[in-house]
Amino acid sequence: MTGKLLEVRGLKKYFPITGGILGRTVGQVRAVDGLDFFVRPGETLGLVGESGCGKTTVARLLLRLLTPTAGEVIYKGQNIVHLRGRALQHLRRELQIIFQDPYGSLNPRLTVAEIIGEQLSIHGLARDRQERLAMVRELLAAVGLEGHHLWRYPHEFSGGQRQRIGIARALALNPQLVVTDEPVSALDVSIQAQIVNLLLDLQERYKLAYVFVSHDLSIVRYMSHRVAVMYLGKIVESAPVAVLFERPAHPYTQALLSAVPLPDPAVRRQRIVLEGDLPSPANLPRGCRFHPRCFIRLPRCREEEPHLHDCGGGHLAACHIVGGQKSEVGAPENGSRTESLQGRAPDVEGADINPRGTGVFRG
Amino acid sequence: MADTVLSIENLRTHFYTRDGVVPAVDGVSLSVRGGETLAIVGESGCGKSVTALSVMRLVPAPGRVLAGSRVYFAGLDLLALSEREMRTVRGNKAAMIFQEPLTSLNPVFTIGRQIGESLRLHKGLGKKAAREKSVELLARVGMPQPERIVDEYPHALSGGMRQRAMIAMALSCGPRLLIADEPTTALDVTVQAQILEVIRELRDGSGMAVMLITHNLGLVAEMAGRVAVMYAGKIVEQGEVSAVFDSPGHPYTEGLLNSLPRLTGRTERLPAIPGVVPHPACLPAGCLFEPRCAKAAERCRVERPELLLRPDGRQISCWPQN
Repeated sequence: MTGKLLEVRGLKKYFPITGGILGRTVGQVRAVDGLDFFVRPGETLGLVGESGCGKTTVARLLLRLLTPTAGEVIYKGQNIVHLRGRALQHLRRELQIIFQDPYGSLNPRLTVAEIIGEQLSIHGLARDRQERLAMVRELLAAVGLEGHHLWRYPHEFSGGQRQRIGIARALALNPQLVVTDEPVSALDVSIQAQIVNLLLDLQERYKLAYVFVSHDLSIVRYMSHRVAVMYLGKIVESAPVAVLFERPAHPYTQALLSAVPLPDPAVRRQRIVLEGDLPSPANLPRGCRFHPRCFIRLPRCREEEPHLHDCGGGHLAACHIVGGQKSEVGAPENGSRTESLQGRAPDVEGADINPRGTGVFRG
Repeated sequence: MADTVLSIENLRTHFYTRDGVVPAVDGVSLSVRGGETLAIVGESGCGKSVTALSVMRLVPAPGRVLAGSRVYFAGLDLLALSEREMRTVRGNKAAMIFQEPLTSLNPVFTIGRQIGESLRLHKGLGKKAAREKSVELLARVGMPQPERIVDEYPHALSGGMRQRAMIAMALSCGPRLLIADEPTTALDVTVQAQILEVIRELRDGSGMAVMLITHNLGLVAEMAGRVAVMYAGKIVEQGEVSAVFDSPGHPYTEGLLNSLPRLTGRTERLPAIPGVVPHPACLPAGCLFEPRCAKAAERCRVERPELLLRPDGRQISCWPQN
């Protein structure tokens, strides 16, 4: 895996907030606020974060379903931000998306043959009806559906089957990069595993690259080669998957990982419980976006926004405190230990560093 | 050992739809003791929520709890109570919180008024006293600035704050039983952690019994002492959480646990359970799980196993293998 299939530089998307009878812009929701990342061919980049962090907006920006406010999206060396008309249509053959909601994303009035076959005609990939149907049949087989499903409507399928139809539709044009936006979060546990396995099989078979957007850390760990963690429109940490899950550097990643309930009653972890809620992306905190909820914050974090910096081996973190910038750090604001957090898993550390002492249960 | 707070015997709740009878809950028996958390776990449509609604006598039409079902709560036969008597139990001694806090809060009343409502109704508190008590309850569930929030409307609150308000409401009359139906499913993991901590503290502090309904096996492991696994309207396995997770007795439980992606350990292909849950209108004649079961034998196809108590205290409904 060499080279970059897709590269994003300084990507921003602001949504205006309008008010008053004249509909003047009175503010901005900074949904995506300066992202840099890349995807190699055949690789899965996991994009993980909580609701409102901007991950779905990123998915839509990559496909040009939204136009960015600023920044570049470079696909195979070409900036696609300003593509129009035929060039954009051509691009969409190579970039596809699978949506979260298998109920809302399929047209209820079309049969499966039409849902999947439509784009084959639009892009002129099938010469006639016979050829088109043959191609759709082949796609259905690839996602584990059968030929007699061709003439059925979406309501006749279960959630898992519908998601298979959505996957077949995404694959129809033989794309190189598929953005999957929470593809399994609407599905039951036993069906989730089926779809996750299908996505992995298809990746192997068609050499697909995925941008796997999800809030579910365990699934991201299964699917991804590299993971980027988003918080309020920014990437706060990114690393190869094993590194991120073994040695999370950013306090937000640590808290996020420690908050996932483990299906193992024998494991008793110390948990970092963050205070408060996600701030509104329309009214971002000054300095580090995470500082109001951070358990290791310093006075500096309130003033100065940290940028992603390398902690070694492609492990990037945006935090003043962790990862090699310690020399600049003064005394911690709340008398907590900072050293202990560096490069350590949250289940070993983080016990005595919550300022209000609410951070821990089950010692 | 604390007293049994809730005991359900052979609960059957069927829905009489145009397309036929749907046995949403079909012969469920379980009990919860004070200070204990019993988790009911299963996938969508397995009947876990209908079980909870049946206890609270809130089953929507065309659903009906069949004769022969028994629900005993704190010495009362709930199914024999009149609707009027039931109203003195609901929200008072037995409270319930739901998955989506926004749709279960009334958008046109302030938070304080909604919490105060049950206090005034069940405890006969005056307007002022109810308000003061509401502030106190909000503080107890960790709501920031309770004096301000008490006068806010639900739309002004975040998801986590709404769920805290719901919990404050459920706890207002000091219930002996809290039924939590997917209480954190709509919330982010960091907020989920906060809410779980609140529920756990309140349970340990007051000795209240908790019935936790969830599809998340991680929550079961962290919150519950005992677990009942449901599949297609029936309990297929019930026992201590540590024992069930350590050595699942039913192939469905085993399949569920194996198909979970984990945060640690190996990341090979997930062993998925093949197939889908049977449609409730055309259930298999034998074991309900047989069509998806890797260990199914001839007997499983024709004869449905009963939920039997094993010597180790676990209940499993599966024909003995080997």
